[in-house]
Amino acid sequence: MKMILKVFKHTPELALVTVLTVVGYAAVALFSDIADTEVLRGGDVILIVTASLLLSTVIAIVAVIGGVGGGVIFTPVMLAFTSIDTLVIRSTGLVVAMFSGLVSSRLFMRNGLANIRLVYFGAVPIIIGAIGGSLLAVALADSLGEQGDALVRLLLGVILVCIAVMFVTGGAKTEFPEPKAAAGKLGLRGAYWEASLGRTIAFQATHGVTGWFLLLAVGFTGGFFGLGGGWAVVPVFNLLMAIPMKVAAAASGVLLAIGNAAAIWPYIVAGALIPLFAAPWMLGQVIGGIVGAHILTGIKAGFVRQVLIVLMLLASIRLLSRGVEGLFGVDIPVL
Amino acid sequence: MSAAQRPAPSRAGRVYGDTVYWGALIGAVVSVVGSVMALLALDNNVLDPAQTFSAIWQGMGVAQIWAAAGGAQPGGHWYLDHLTKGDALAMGGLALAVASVVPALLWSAGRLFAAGDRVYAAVAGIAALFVFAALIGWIALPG
Repeated sequence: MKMILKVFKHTPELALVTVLTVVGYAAVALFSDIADTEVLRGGDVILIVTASLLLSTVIAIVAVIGGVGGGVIFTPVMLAFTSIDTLVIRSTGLVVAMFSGLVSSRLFMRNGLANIRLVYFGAVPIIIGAIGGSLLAVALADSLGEQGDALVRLLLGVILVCIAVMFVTGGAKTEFPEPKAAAGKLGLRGAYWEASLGRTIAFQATHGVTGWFLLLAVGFTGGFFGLGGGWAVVPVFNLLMAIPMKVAAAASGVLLAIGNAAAIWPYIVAGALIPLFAAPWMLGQVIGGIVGAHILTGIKAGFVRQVLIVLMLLASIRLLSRGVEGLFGVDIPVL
Repeated sequence: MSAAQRPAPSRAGRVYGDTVYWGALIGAVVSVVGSVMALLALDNNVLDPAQTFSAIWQGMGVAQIWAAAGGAQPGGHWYLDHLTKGDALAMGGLALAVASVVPALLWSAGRLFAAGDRVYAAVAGIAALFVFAALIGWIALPG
């Protein structure tokens, strides 16, 4: 808590946005006269908006520290525990996935944690993959209807289990990996100040070509499911390309913002991003993203990974059951 | 090691980071104002807020949400024609923040080019082209 207050003290623009948001939403809670409908009372709408803002802030802090992008948490949880249309969730998921990355970019670039070459190296495959994934997602939703929804949930459940396993097997040994091959002609090398050790850590990337194609696949999956792709960028950078964990996490966040900036426009242009639903999620990402970036600079990220593993496994159980229910018409009493 | 001996951050990186940071913050401020306007002045919206949330909560698809709350699902940058309305302004703020990635990439590419790093300058330029193509609707959802 002390650290968070310090961040607000040293970032007046963050304090301004936060105060504006809190005062604005408080005014809405006090003075708004939203009519009841058959489905929701007016108060429920205020509750949804406020809860979205708070949840998004927490997700952003966790996501930035873990370098995974908020979409990894938002999309599976919303698909698993609400009946909201998958396209609405996925378009909003891209907002959640990208905004914490946008606002954390400045600090990561200024303190050298994010390497600009590494970011641009990954940008093109992530963008191409993300756009391709988004387009296929919409085509599938149109042609398969409710069965398409169930299929998306089932596949996402399988992917989440794989991600959780990857994070478990990755472990803490990957904090400062030793490169196993020469850096090659890509020039992906650099150094950063590791505050927790009080010294400079130098690094050089390996397996660039393989990494490029894996990032293409990651972008596709992220665009398709509205996850954003950050869940796998960190492992590709860290486990395959021998980039230190914190540099991988920071570069992943920055990279996600670029990739999702391309993937989200087709949703916006098609009217598939509903502004009143998405806005509180965006605001939470902005506030939480800046706070999370300041926290990541000074801490070890290990415990956040453990929280993510539990979250992903819980969400995957629910997603798998809902997917099987939708596809095969059976009733599975889970959660 | 003193602060002076720490690795210096790249200028191209700083330019990118600063641009998207301020773009996102300005977009967030516009979005807050739009959201609050939308939920206080309920008649001044493209989509009726109560009907919008009800439709979303019932699991309706995007076209159904628009039909239930405001009319036909629009195409293109629909919010630009309605910036005096709360929800459109909120959408405008969000779009502004996302759009800030394009100048950030281009400016950063210019810095890389000036520093002699032409390969990564070109890569940043290509990334900017992709995002811009999506922004102007060249890359569109099917149907």
